[in-house]
Amino acid sequence: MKPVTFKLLLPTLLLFCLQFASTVMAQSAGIELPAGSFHSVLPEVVGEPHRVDIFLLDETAVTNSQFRQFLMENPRWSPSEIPALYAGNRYLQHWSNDGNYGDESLADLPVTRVSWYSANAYCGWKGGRLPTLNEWEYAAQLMHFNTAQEENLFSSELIGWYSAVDAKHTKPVGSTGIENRYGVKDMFGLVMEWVEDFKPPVATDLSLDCGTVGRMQGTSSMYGYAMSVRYITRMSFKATSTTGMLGFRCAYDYPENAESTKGKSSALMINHPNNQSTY
Amino acid sequence: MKSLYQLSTLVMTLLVLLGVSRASAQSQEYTMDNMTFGMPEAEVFTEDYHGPPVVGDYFTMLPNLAPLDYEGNKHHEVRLDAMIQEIEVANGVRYRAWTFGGTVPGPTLHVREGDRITFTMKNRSDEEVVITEPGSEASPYMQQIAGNNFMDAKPGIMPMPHSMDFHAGTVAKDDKWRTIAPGETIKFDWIANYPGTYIYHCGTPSVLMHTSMGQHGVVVVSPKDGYPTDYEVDREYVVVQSEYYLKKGTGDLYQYDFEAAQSKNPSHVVFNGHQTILHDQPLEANAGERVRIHFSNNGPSGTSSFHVIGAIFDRVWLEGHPQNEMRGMQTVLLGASGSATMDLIVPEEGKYILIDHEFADAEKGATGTLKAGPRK
Amino acid sequence: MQNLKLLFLLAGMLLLPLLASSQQTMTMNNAGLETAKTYHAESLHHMNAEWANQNGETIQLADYLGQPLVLVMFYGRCTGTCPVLIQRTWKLYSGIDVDIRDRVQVLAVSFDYKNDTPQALKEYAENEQLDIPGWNFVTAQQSDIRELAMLLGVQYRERSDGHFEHSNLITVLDAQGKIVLRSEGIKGGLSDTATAIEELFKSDLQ
Repeated sequence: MKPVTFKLLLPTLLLFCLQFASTVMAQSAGIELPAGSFHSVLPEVVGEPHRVDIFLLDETAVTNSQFRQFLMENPRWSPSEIPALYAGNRYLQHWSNDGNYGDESLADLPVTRVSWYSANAYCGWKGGRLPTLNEWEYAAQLMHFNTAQEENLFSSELIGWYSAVDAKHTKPVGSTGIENRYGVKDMFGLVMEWVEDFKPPVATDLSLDCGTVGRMQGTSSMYGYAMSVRYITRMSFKATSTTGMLGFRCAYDYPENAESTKGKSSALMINHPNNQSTY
Repeated sequence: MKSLYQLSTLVMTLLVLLGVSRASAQSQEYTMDNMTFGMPEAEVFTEDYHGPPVVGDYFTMLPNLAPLDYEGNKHHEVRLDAMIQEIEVANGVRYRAWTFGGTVPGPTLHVREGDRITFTMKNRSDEEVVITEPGSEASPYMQQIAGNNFMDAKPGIMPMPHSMDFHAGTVAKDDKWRTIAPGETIKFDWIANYPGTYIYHCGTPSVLMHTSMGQHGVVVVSPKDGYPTDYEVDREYVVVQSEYYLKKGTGDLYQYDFEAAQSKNPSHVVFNGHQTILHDQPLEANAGERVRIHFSNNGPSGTSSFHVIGAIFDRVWLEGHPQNEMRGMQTVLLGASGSATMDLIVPEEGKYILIDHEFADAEKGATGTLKAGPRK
Repeated sequence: MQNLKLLFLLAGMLLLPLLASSQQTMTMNNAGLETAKTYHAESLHHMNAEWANQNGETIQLADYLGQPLVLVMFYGRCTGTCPVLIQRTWKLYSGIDVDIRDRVQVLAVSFDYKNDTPQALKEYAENEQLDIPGWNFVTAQQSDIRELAMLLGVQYRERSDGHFEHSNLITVLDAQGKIVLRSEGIKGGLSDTATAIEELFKSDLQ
């Protein structure tokens, strides 16, 4: 081989390896969701779709075994050490002892009875953050429905889930079979999830009163109804709340150094067969 | 001596002013037409409470009503926690209900017009609460459930936000009827300013969902001067009509049918929460007796055309107010959350059927039995 | 004359407890400084976060155990309310009694973890003429900033253009790290708050 080519080869190989590594790292930190917009049920900006920038979101909710790893490295978040500032006294109550959930068959269950503070700390530890409310709702709406009937059936089942879930027997992540079109799993049907801003400023105006549901439904779609149940439930939490039906997943900023499409919005509007217009 | 007198007067005045200013800063209560308004702000907090979910001497299980064994007004300190119970509502139909106190409808509270109630509620939807082991401080309601668990209630967990709306209370709803997260407790005062039978229900949106899922009950507020026929009443019962919107779920349990609820198409319409309870455990009386029924249509959405087959209501006080007296009614039409207190004279020995004369409702279960023995 | 003095004393003894009990937030539980790890249940000193200030020094909230702390959240590139909020904090700070002011510390925490590096914070502090002893402009990891905002009750949201929508709040922690005062918004007088801070110090002196 010619010496010049050889000299070029090594750095080229190195560069290639680095680029490959960075994309691998980006992939392992969650699923990439493109920039786009969606309609929220909250009457903040009437009729306006909310824009969401490109970001990454965990494929599944954080599991018991993942959270155990976090506790091993950060024992101050274990039930025996966590201050009342960060969680109520039922924090991880269903775990058999302080830093462990018990039987290995429970490893892949979504971790529940975690407060917002502990979820936020976990995501920070992973180099990410909690998704914002808009990011979460946007990702949740990236479902693919072929027909209006299909969407209504889904929404009807979702409302059924909100009123009949058996919080004593959660199932492993990935088991609902529900996936958005990018492969993000179980945003419905498994557990409710923490978001960064679970009680947005407009929540105080809504005051969670009887008439709220009517105002939250831009159009009277069943999907909107299910959404309003979810918003209301989420808005009732305190940052120290823990429940057997509340877990979380992490989001990550799109890495600056990667070939970013940030800002280059694909203006992906959510396609819902039921409504050309908004909800 | 005079200066001393002046100084002591000044000091006393200062003390009184200080005392008065502090007192009035804490209370905005005022009376008008012999009614009291202006309750203090509700408190929301976290407590480490694991005791009985229903506390209060005047809480009973339907159709019973606790006797008011006191003169004048009383300050009641009660607790009624929200929790999940898996219950039977008809033969072979069980579902995981959202409840107050563990049954649907929830416990009946009896108070007198003018009573003050200090109410505490913990949202225990994220913990398993056993209602069949009353313990010593529990209410008559809990004793009655333990002895007669006809809904076969079993604890469950389904964490959801909840709230309480007492129709008998006159307060600002954004303060007292506010929603609390699982694990939180709310505490507030209200005064039973008006007599009558009033629904209480969860006010967290969607109210249709929360009440259909089981969170409702009644408070019976007896008028301070009673009804004209009080001395002749031999039996007193509480009957509550309500709807269920249930469909079969995955597994053995039924679940909420959202579409049925939205289109006012109940799967079951029942008295006292269970399709057959008032037949399995009929109301009892004897011929010639005056039976008083406090009846509430808790809905959430339907109307009730309440009639007792074989009888006519001698007196009907609409919404339970002594001045709303009607005479000789065959059927009383009540909208959702409407109520009436009614007397009937049991004519003869035999069977009488309580019924919602809207037969689509009756055939879904809105019937009950009053069994009458011979004249005593 | 003796009777008068006696009566006066008696009146004073009766009045003082009444006055004291009406100042709930000011009552200090002076159990003395306990071991560093045992913080009051509601104390923000439990926060583990490491804040880097404009001089590159590392600060933790627990460092303030034993003295009250003024907290405000802002960000450097803000052209909206933050300048007003920072000036308001300065107004509060300068309204405190000179003898006490030297011991009052201010922690100004930036939302903008990407742009407000220690160096950028130094420039900001210098531009605001607030690069003075007692004033720390700090940054930390994103989740730490989120956590602090949640503890204080500050709402904020990052926009696509990198700016932040946020509520405005000045918070005062007592010597045990508990929140005792909150001044929301950018309007209204601050002399009451300044007095209250002085009270915190006075009771600590006892």
